[in-house]
Amino acid sequence: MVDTARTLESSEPQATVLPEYRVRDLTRLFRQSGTGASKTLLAVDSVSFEVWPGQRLGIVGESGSGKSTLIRMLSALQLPSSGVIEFRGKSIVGLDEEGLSELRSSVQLVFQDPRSSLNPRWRVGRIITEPLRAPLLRRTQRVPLSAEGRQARMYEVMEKMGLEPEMAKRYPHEFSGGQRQRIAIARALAPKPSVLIADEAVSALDVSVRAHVLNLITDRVRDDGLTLLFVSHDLSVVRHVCDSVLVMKSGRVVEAGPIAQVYTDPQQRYTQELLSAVPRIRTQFD
Amino acid sequence: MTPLLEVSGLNLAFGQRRTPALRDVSFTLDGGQRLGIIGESGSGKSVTALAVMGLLPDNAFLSGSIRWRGQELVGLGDAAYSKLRGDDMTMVFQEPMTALDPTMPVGLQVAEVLRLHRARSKDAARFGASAEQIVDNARNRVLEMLTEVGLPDPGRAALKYPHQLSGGQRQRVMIAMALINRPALVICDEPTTALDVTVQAKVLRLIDYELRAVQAASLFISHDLAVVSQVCDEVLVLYHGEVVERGHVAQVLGAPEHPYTKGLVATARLDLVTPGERLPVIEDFLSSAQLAGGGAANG
Repeated sequence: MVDTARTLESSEPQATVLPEYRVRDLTRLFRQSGTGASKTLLAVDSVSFEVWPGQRLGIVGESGSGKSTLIRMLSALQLPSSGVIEFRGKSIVGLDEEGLSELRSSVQLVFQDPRSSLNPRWRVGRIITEPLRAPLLRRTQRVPLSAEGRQARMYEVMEKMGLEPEMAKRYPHEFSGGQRQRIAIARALAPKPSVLIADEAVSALDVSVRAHVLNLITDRVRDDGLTLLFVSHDLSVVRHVCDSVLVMKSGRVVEAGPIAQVYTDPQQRYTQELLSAVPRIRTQFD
Repeated sequence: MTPLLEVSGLNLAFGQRRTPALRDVSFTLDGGQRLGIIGESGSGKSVTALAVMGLLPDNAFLSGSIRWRGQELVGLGDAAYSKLRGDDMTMVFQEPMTALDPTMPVGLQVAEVLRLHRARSKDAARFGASAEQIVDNARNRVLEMLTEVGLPDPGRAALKYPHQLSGGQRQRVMIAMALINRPALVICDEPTTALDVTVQAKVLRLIDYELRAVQAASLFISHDLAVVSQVCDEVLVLYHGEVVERGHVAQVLGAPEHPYTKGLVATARLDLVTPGERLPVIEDFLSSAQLAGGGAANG
């Protein structure tokens, strides 16, 4: 039912390059406990796609469409019920933390609500350098091993995110929502990931603050050559930061393709509905 | 004719803080009129709503005047205020998960609003109705209202607790509570900000329909200009607690005059920017003196 071939042809480079992710028939069931007979919920249903290095893939759909479950599986925070997830040619399903070290060091996440994803008892400096202290990452030799090296890296990512060096001494609650999200992104960038996964990273922000954070994300992705997986319910935001898109509904991918094509000429009714739901500013008298 | 709501020279400060939350805010609202209040977080939108509703915390210093149908509300006692709140003047909050009582079925919560103001048992004798009849009438009215706001299977939905409903359904319950007493004013504080775009579109249509049905006026607070565009005729722009612009939505958003409004409009127009190009931010539109105008303006 899905025309993924159309998408991925366009972004597919020479055969010698491995995709960052290869996903085949990925399925996740949840058992729903509750009233009477136990029911099951197909959160993600036979999803297949590839993510190539440098690709900026948007994943769009309304709440409950399976977006978050999908990226939780891609980042090995949740096990699939069935299907294949390969990261750089190797399956990551069912590996222990030792086996996941390459994934853990290369893939970083930014969540919707920085109030709950930043430890309120830690100073910003400690939050940002925490991934650099993880034993698994230290073993990959990709992170600075000395305290001075960590601190240098911290100031580097803080500067990239437009945060003042003195902010390292402060606590998350002292910052605005936009600043907290910039701290969360700085933390994600600290271990020099190659893949950045953003789950509704700008959805909780004011429209005016959103523009600022989107600019910073776009700059980092371009300048650091990151691969981006950008989950959002808002197609207009995805159009701005991504080059391709998967549209999800009830766990399935209903439409996929280059963003310009899907945005201007959506084939599925659901995609059209998502697009028309984005409210528009009124600038003319009707 | 006296306006429904007349706010003039409103000043507000909290505790020991030197920067005021509101500075000389004035506006009027006629019956049935919808006024959008826009601005970033911290611009004073929500405290304006709380001031009108008389819900400011004890450390708030409020001066100026808020007149409701000509009656002064600043300094009004709590008992008098509670007759007004939930009846003639109601509010839809941003986060229904915190605004609804988690321990009470939603149908009862809607009924409570009705019972507090309309169907009190002490009125029963006066109307010659028995207490049972009052309860029956309340139940019917609640079910009618839940049907009207589009809750599927209202009879069963009424028995559910807030956590058993989706975000959009919870917001529908809030709307039912706000409208069941047919108020003259409904204050909506970011009513769809926590919802995704498709649910948001449905809830906005519902709010529009319900406000029209009871001919209520509305103060509609949002940081999202596009959302305000859909519901309101007039818009008021707040910046650092001051009104910087007011006018018809199309006028203010189509040809903004104040640099701050220009910035707000520009940041919201994702569709005008080539994908991947730098988006305009508010700071591009304000001089450094304006930015320093008060408090932290950075995102």
